Amino acid sequence: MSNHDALLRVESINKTFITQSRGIRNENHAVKSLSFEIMRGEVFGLVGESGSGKSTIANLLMNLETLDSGEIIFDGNVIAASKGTPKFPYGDIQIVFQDPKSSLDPRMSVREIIEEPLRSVSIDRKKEFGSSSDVLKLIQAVGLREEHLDRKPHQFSGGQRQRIAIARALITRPKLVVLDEPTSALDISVQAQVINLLKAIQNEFGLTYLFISHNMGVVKYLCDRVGVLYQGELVEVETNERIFAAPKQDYTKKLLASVPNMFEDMEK
Amino acid sequence: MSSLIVDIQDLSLSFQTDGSEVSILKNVKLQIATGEIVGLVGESGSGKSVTALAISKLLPEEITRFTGGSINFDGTDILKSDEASVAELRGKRIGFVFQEPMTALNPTMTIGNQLFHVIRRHSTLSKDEARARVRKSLEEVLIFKPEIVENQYPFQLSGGMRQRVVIAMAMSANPALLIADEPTTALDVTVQAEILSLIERLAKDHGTAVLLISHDLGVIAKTCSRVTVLYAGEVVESGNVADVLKNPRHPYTQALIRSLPDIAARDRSLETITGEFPDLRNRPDGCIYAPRCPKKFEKCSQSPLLLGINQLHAVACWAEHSVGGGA
Repeated sequence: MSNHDALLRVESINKTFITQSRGIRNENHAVKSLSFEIMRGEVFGLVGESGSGKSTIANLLMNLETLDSGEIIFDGNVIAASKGTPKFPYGDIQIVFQDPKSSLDPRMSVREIIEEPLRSVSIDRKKEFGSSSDVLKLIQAVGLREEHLDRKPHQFSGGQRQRIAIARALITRPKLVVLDEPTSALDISVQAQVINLLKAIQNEFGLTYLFISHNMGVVKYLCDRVGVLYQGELVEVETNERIFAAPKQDYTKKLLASVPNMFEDMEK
Repeated sequence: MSSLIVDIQDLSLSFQTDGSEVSILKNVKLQIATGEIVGLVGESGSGKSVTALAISKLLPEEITRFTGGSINFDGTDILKSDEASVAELRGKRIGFVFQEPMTALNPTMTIGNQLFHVIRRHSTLSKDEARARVRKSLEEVLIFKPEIVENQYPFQLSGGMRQRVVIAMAMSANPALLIADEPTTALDVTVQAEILSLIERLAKDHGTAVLLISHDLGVIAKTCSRVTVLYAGEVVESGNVADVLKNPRHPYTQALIRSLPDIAARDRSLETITGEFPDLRNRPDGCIYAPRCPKKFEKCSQSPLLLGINQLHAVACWAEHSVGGGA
């Protein structure tokens, strides 16, 4: 794969969090010289356990944290670096969080929630995409109805709320969507619906996904390539087929072996 | 054959809220024998936790109405017992492990002190003996430096370590039944594997019956010998784990398993369950799953009974029990 097709290039990024407790300085090297690329149209999976740096990477990509060193290049432009003032392409990268209960403002109507990201994009773009017909189109694209637009989040089930969060991510017509554990809080049958939706809108809107998850079944089904994180380092990056069939690193093997797989456990 | 610790027969209960009555469980049957790990599986709102809490009458008294059936715990008729005698069972004969170990522990007390109080509460040990038991309990859940952990507070421990402490607490009085409600849902997979094998080993060593509640069919497959599948407060299928998960007979169980992405072909959509969860304020007559069921026929307007297909496997579905039925 050549760099030409890369939508996102993460180049040896580092992030250390410093905390002080009872006068003791504590350094947590959350992301260690990490590099990877995401190709246009690809679903790139990041897997790892808590503390492995998954969410720190998502926050760095979303400009919610600053890098200590390294750089992030998106669509040919540097969007994050330790030096200078790179311009962040608001609207081009969007995120869907794990828990739709806490990620939707309870006082806003669904319409306000979906329109909110437009506040941070340029006026040109707002003209281009922010019409009310667009909100309507999106709410239908995620499987909800027009009358839902005037309701509040608490009137929806978990699966429906995640659909709203997805519509909110799409309003700015992003190129890359970061999906941070988007189905972990959902029931199995609802998870299947949301995964189908994510697949369908990827084709419809020509999206590239960074899919962060600890659920190997979902990753195996959805991702083209998978990166395995362990304590802030990317220990293995492989194609879907190879990582599940022939993991190379010990940690990847351990991680995959720990997943209780109903179908395999039944074959014993 | 080992004896039954838990015998729930046709349990029905409802919650009364804002003047309306919501039917939570209907005719639930569940049996657990000594030393056996039984899984209870279902999606949110299926009544898994309510069933578990009902065994020790931990449901809010003001709103809970038991409308039928019985719960027998190790010879005690729970529904006919007064609060004091059921309270005597909690913690001592019935241990609990919940999903979130942080909220199950007292944040202002050291691990050692919390365990000490639990042990003293449920035994006649002297203070010194109880101190020694604290150490032993922690060792038993494979905490390697109990002398250090004893003096630590919950916030100083990882999620997995905290859950080990909660398990040590639940097992400290050597209960006849351990209720583990989503014990590994908040944990990482590698830690989950450790906690599940710990529960398995403790149950085996102590002959403890375990009711393991999970929404994760993989966890159930790995840990349990039998499983009961709940949908909207009704048992739709139950039996040996291998039978139920490998050869599910109820359309709901079948759909649930097919909606897992684990073995799905990547170029095809996942199967989903159409329709919506029933409104339990007006529990529909007849089969509870019928409105969403692809196999529905006239007979489904009557409630199906949970009948055995063989000795180890029962299903509540007319399509399975009618003459010439069976899929």
